[in-house]
Amino acid sequence: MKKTKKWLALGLALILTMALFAGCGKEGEEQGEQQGGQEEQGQEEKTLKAAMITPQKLGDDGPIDACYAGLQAGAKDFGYEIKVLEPEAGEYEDSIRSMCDDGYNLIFCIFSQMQDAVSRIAPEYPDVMFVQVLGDLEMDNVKTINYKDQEASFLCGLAAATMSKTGKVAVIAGAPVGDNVRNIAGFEAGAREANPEIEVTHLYVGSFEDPTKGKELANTLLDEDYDMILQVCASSSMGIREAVKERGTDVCMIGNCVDESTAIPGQVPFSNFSDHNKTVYSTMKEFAEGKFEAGVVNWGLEEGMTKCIFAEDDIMEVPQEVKDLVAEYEQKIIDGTIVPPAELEEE
Amino acid sequence: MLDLGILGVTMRMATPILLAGTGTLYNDRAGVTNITLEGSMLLGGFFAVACSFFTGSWVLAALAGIATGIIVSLVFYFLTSICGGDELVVGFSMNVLLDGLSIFLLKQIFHQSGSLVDERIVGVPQISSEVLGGIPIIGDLFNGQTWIVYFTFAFALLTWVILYRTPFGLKVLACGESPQAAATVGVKVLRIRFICNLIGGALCGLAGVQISLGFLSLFTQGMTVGRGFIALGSVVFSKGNPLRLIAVTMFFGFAEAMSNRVQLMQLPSELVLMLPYLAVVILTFVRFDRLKKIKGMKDQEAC
Repeated sequence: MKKTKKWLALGLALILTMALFAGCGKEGEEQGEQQGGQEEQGQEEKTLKAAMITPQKLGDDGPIDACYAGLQAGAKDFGYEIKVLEPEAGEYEDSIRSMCDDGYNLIFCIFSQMQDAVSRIAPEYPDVMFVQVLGDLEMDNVKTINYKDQEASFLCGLAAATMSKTGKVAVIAGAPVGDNVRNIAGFEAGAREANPEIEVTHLYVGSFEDPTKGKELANTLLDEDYDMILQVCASSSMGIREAVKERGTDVCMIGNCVDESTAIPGQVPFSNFSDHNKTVYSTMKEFAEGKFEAGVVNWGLEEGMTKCIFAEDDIMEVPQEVKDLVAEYEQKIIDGTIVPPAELEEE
Repeated sequence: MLDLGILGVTMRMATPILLAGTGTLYNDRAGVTNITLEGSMLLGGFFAVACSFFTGSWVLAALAGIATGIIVSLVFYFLTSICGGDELVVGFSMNVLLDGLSIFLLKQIFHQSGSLVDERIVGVPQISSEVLGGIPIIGDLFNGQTWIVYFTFAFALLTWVILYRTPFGLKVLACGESPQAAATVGVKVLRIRFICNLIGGALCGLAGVQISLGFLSLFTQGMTVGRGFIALGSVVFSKGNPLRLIAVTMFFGFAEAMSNRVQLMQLPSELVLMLPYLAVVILTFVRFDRLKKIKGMKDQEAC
């Protein structure tokens, strides 16, 4: 009896092992077929499949939503199949890899958190084109897009310092990282350009998803009589919006990335705009037309990718002089007579 | 810059942590390891905002938040005590699940992704009175806070009384320290643990309400940002004593409030952002029991 059991067990184990091998073999074959299929497709006609991978979640009413809008518009106009992934930290590589294996040939990786993962995976998939939004990657199949945020935020600083009644303006940023720092540097330089006496400071929330802390920080600033606050902190800015709204019309927030004037009507005179929508859309266009080029690009005022845009409703009645001043400096920056700093002065 | 206004911020920052911590304290003392605080808070916050959106009443919203917390704790109890799942595994996976669930529901019910902001969402009102504001320190601490803040501190104090001065509390302690002994003398261990679980869930749900409707009046994905785990840590630091828990959470709230203020002084931001966490590290060194030991040693030396 015992012996039969033993043999039975051994037999079962063998079958299982074989099943395992069989499984492997089949998977391998399938993969081979898939890859073969892709190559054939690639030769006949390139299917357009674009994926967007973003560590910051959709629904921020800001840059991520703008990217997504661009992606959708691109899909509609050029016939892309699209997909959006929102991985958590630590899943970046897996999510990129799964998109590559799934035949997506244009992959947008949003913001600098993704950079490490892209640098590791891009060489493994030379046929897949990557777009790294914000970063400094130089690779054969990666297009890295940066904005000269400091140019637009310089103009915002300029306008804010001119309009501030208390002579105190501030930035609330998410964390001391590349684009945040550029925004702060530009804003502070712009504010000092307009009014050398201005008090300008910056605070960090330490997270892009903590509206509670955003609100506390905004209240701290408002208590200290700061009346113009530029937000550069994605979802954390929801808290800033509330704080500014509760304080009433004497104070205002400066929007970031998108025109935020509709979020708190009458309290967002202008926004520090960068055209993520157009970035994604135009890249998809280039790719569809076969004009995609890898490399690092820096887009700023000159390309119209960053701007200081005034609220359309103009409830706050921004004085014409301010608008003229901004236009004047915009020209100066484009001409190169003024170069806003991209890094903070050492404190 | 370091005016007394910082005390109010400290209270606001400490409240959700203390509330969730007090709830977990019951679990902790009854011998249940429930780490679903983060998930309960998040989902409680979500349903509170949803309820506020539909009914326009913050009272119903708060009740919805509490009910959500209770339901989450019931699920936890079902999976661990009835189905026999491991508490840590169930707790951890529920946290991940509830985080995803809040987003999923947001998308299904409101067709929004990531955040819900609307005029119709009514926040929990803040209570401010001139009489209260006139009293130094106490006024700074308590004026202009939501009733949840008052409730939290009152309940934390009450918890001390309940745990150490009532038959129920003593049963809870017995269940945690020696369940077999408790069962031998006729204490219904499972029932006590069940009740503790419910209390914990309810308080975590209310902590979520304070975050989503007390501080703000909106919901965003993952808006608790680890406060549940900080609460869990505080319970461990305080060794299950409600009074120490108040001290620990106040300390943490103060560190966070300070980090907001200190940033204005143009200190290096890296250092400032580290402050709350540095506080935790310091706390680990300065544990209350060790303080006593050190004091004891010094007394001996003096002799």
